[in-house]
Amino acid sequence: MHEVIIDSSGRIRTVYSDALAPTLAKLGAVEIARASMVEPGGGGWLADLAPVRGPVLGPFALRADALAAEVEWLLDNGTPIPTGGMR
Amino acid sequence: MSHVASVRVIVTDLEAMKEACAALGLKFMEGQKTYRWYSSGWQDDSPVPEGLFDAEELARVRAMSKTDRIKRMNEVLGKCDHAIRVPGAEYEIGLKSQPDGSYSVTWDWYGAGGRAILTALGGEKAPKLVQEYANAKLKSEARRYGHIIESEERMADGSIRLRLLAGRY
Repeated sequence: MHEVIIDSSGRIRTVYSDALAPTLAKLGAVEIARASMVEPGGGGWLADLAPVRGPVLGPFALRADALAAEVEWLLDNGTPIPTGGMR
Repeated sequence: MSHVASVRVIVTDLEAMKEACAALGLKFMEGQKTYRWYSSGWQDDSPVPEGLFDAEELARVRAMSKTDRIKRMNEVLGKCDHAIRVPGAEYEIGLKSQPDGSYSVTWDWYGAGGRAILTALGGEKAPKLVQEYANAKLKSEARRYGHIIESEERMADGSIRLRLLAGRY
């Protein structure tokens, strides 16, 4: 399932997916930016959401769990547009 | 690691624009070649707005003498390929096709004649019209690529949230 937000100014945002890329390209000028980093740390895997001014999640035992957690956080927080910040 | 895609919407699809107009209670006037605006023409008492010209021409027009700029602006303003009527508004909205296949959306929001348009469209950049166009166009293109629209929600902050089930693409 993919979630797409059209904000009150008309700007569209969504967690990037190859499946939606052709659809989005028909709508206008698309910008894609990194929203998080998943790296080893803390005895497991950490999901660092600094680019969207979010928290560090984890550690998770599995990398897949860290990836799932970051997507869940993005969706729960309205899929913020990355500002490029790094910790 | 995830990425976020954001899209600055560009109007290219008249069918989606017709749907957006219907959603907002506006009347799409297909093929209407002029739109009503301030009857005395361009006064050059405000900056030349973006969206009327490409970047190169915009810079050229802004650098013109006042006399030349008034002449050039009055060649462009009030002329369109399609128009939109807003109930209760004296002025109208013009859609003009651009060389790149997009449409500019032009209207006079200044003064009493444009006030009802300003209200109906939510501001000078017509955010409500852009949002409804984006919603119609997104759903149309999603279906074309085989995706299923699972749900559409109007959120408290004014945004629209669509949930799509991806099909083959």
